Amino acid sequence: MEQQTPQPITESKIVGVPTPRIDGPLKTTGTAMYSSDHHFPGLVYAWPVTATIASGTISGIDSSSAEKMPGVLAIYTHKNIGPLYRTPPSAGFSMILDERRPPLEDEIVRYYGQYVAVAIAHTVEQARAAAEAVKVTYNKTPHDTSDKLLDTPTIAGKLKEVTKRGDTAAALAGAAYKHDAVYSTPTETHNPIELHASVAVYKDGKFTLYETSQAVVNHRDVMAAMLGVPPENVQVITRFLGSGFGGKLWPWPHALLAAASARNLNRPVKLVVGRSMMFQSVGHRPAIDQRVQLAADKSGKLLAIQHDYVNHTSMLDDYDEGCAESTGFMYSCPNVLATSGLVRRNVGTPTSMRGPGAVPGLYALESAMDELATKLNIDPVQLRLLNEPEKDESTGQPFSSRHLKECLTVGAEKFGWAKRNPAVGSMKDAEGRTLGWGVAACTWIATRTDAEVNVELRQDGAARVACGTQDIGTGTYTAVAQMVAHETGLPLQRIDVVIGDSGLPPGPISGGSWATASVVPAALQAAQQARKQLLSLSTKTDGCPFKDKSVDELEFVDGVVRIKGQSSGGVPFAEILKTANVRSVSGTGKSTGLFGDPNQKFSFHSFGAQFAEVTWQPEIARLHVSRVVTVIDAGRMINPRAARNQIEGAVVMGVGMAMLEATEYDHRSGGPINASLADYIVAVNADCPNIDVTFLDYPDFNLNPLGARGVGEIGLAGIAAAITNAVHHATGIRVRNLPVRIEDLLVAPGNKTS
Amino acid sequence: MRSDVRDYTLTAPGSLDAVLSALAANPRLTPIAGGTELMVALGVGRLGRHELISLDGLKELRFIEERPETLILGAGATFTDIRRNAAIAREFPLLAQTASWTGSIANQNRGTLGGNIANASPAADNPPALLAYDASIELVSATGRRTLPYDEFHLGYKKTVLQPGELIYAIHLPRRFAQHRQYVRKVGTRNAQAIAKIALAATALIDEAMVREIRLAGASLIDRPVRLHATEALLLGKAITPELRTQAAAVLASEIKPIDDIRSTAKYRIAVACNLLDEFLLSL
Repeated sequence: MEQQTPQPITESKIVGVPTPRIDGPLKTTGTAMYSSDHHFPGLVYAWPVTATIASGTISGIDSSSAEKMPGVLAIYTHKNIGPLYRTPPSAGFSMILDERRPPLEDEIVRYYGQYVAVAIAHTVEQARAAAEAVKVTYNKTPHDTSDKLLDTPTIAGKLKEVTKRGDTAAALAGAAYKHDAVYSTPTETHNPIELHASVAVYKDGKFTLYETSQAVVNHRDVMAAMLGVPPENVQVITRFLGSGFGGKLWPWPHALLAAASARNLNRPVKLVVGRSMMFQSVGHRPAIDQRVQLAADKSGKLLAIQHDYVNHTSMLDDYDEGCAESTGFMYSCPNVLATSGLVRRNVGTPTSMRGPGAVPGLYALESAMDELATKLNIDPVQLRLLNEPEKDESTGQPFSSRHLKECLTVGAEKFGWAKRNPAVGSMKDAEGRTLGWGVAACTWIATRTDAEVNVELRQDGAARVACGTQDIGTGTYTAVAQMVAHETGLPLQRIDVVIGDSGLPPGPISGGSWATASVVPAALQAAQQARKQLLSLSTKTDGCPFKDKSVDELEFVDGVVRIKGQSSGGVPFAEILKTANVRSVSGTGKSTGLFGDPNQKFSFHSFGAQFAEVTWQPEIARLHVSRVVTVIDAGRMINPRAARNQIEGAVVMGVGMAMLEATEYDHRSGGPINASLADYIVAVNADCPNIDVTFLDYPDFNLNPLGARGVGEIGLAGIAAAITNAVHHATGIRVRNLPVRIEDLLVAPGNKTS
Repeated sequence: MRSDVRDYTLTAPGSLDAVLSALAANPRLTPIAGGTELMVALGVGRLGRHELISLDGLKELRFIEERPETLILGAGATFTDIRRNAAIAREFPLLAQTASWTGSIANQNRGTLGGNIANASPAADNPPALLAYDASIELVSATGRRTLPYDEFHLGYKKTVLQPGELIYAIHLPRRFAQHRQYVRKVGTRNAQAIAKIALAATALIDEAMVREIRLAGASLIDRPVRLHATEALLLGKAITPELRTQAAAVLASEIKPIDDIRSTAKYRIAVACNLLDEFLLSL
C-alpha cells in the first residue's frame, strides 16, 4: 500500500483539548475489569514452582505429597504438561516474545526463578501450599550473574557495528579535547502495580485468554503457535492494564502454564504472578556497560563519537538493549562509530523497559556531553546547540520535525539557566543548601505501524469504534474517542471505544510510543467511510428528507445530516437509521505503517530537553531532586492532559532510575535478592520534584493527518543524565554507576564544602 | 515462601486482665498488636511456629492521657493516634514527627507504639524521640506493675528487660520540654517509607549560653535504640564552642558502633551521625 499523503487537520474542537479520561470513572469506582478480576464457574488456581538454583538440571521432582494435599487437582512438570511448541521466527509485529523457550520444556535450569512445575488447586491458598510442598532436587552447575560486562566474552565474539561514518579512531587520536569513560546501569525491574496475570478459559478446543498484555494481537499469535492451535481458536482480552512499562509487551511463560493447565483440566485456570516472581521471569531492563568516547575541537564542535555498549542477556535468548539507537543522529559529527555486544548471564530474559535503548543510551551519551562541556569550559546547553545537525547524518534523511534547539532554549529560559554559576558547589538556596543544575537533551523514535479500525454509527445515536490495540493506562481510550469525535462531531459520551481484544481489527502494540500515532489515519478513514455510507443511505431512504439528493450536496456535522452549509433542516443520524430500519452504518480504515520502511522520506523522532535541580546537603549527604523542567517536541498532543500525565510519570520514574532503582542479584544463589517493593526502592511522593512540563506544538503532518507522535517514553529519556549532571555540579562527584548512592557522595571529614 | 498458617494458634481474650492471666499461664505466648512486624515476617516465611495472643482492640491499652506533670501514652496507641493528638503536636513535636515517618499510612493505622518498642529494632523511628524526651516505661504482668527509665529498657540487639508474661503498658513523657531546643532528623534511602540509614533525636536546655540539660539518642548507631551518654556528658555544663563541637564529634564517633548492611555503611553512618550532631549543636 502506498503511503497516504496526509491532509493536515489543523483545526479541531476536540483534538488538542485537555480531556479527562473517558475510562476514569470505571477505574475510580472499581468497575473496570482488569485481567485477574475475571472469574468463571469452576475456575481453579495455578501457582508455579520456581527453581532455587540458577544453573543446572532437575534430577528429580517429588510431587507425591503435594498431590495428596487438600484441593489439589494436578501438579504439572516437564513430564506431563503436554504439548507446548516454539514459535516460528517473528515477522513484523507477530510471533514476538523474548523468552522463546516454552515453560517446562526440559529439565534444564538456566536462571533462578525459572518455572519447574505448576500446582493447580481449587483455591489460590491450596495451590500455593501444594507448590511449596513439591520437592525438586537439582544437579547444580556453576552460574554467572556478574554485572561486570564490558571486556567479558560476548556471544558473537566481537562487537557488532550499529552505526558508522568517517574514521572515528583517527579523529579520536588527533583531537585536542577528548573524553573517555564507562557508564554502568543496573538491572531494573518494571514493577507495575498490577501483577502479571492470566485467566485461561478452554472450551471445545478454543482458548479465551484474559491476559495482562500490551499487544493482544501478537499475544494471540504467539499463544496459538505455542499451544499448537490455529489463531482463530485463541482470543486474547486485555480491557484494562495496571501499567506495563514494556514488561507486558510480549507473552511470558506463565501465560502458557495457565493455558496448558486449562487445556489439560478442561476448566478455567487463573495464574497471578507473585511479586517476587516479577523480578525473575517477566523480563527486566538488563545491566549495561557503555563506553563513550568523544572528541571535539576547542570551539566545542564534535569531531568523533564512539559508543560501545554491552548488555547482559539470558542463556537462551539474545536481547539487545539498543543503547546506540540515537547515537548516529543526535548531534552533527563527521566521525561516529557505535557497537553493541551481548553477554550471557544466568538471568531471566531481559525485555523492553520504558524507552529501551535510548533511556540508558542517553544517560551515557548525555553524561559524556556534560563531562566534555566541563573539559572545554563551555556551557552544556551551548555545547548541544553548537552541535545541532541540519539533517539525520546517519541516514542522510531530513528530519520530519526536529526542534531540539528550541527545547533547549525554552527550557533554559523556564529553568533560569542564565543564572547558573558553573563552579562546582557554588550555588545555594535560601536555606543555604547547595544546588546543582544539570541539563540533558533527549530523543525517542516516532513512527506508525499497521492499523485497522472500524467505526460504526448506530441507531441508538452512538458511535462504536473498534481496534485491536489496548489502553495500558496511558489514555488510548480517550485519544481514540477524540479522533472519532473530531470526525463525527459526536460528544465523547456517545462514543463507545472497544479495544483490548484480539478478535477486533488488528491494531498496534502499546509500545514504542506509537500506538496513538498509528491509530490516527485508520480511525479517521474509518469514520469518513462510515459517514459516506450514512450519507448514501440518506439519499436512498424513503421518508428521509434527503431522499434522491446527491451525496455531494450533503454533509455530516455534529451528528446531524444536512444540506451543505444549511444550519437548519438537519436530521440526527439516528433518525435516518431508524427511518431506514438499518441498525448501523460502518466504515473500516486501514493504514500501512512506516516502521522499518526503507523508503521513507523522513527521519522521524521526537526531541526534548530535561533540566534538573538537585538540592544537596553535604552534612548528611542528602540529595533531593527538587525541580525538573522538561520541554518536549513530540508533535501535536491529542489530549494534552493525558500527555502531561505521561511526562510527569516518566520524570518520577527517572528520579527512581537515577537515585534509587537496582535489582541486586545474590551471586551465591543467583537470585534477585531485593525482590519486593519494600526492598526494591522506587520513588515515592516525597521524592517527587516540582515538575514543569512544556510541549512545543509542532504537529508532525508527515507522520499522520493530526500531526501526533507519542509521549510514552521520551519523558524518561535524559532525566537520569540531567540529574547526575546536576549532582556533579553540586558535589564535584561524577556518578557513572547508577543509581547514585548517597554513600558515594559523602564528603570526607576535613574536606567539607560548607 | 509464605509461612504456613497452620503453624500458628491465635487467642484473643478481649481484656487486659485476661491477656495477662493467659500470659502467666503460658509464657510461650507471643503478643501481637497491630501485626505490622509479625504479619510481614509471616508473609515472607520468616516467622517460626508461634502461639499468638492478640492485643488488638484492647481498650485498656489504647489511650493518651494528659496529666498535669506527664503525658501517658498507652502501648496500644497507634501512630495515627499519636499524629492526631494535639498535646503531642504541641509539646512533643519530635514524637509527632517520628510517628509520621513510621511506615505508611496503613502501617500507622495498625501499628502501635508498644509494638514498635517491643520489636526493639535498632533502626526503629520512634525510640530516639522517646529517649530524647527522657521517657519512662511502665510494664505490666499478672503479678504487678513496674516503671523504669526507658533508657534502661533495651539491653542489646532485639533484647529488652521484658520478662515472660510481661507487657508494655504505657510510656510516660514528662511535660517539661517547652523551653528545650529540639531536633530530630532521619536519613533514609528515599524520603518516605524507607528504613532509616541513621537517625538522631536531641533535646537541650540552654541557659546563659550553657548547656544545662542535654539528651541525645539515635537509630542504627549501635545494636539497639540508644542514648549517647558519653557525648552528653562531654557537652553538659559547657558553652558550645568550635573546639567543643569537634570534641563532641570525636566522642560520638567512639561511642557508636554502626554496621555495614544493605541500607548503608558504617563509615557513612559515623560521618553522618557526627554531622547531624554538629547541625544540632550549631543550632543551639
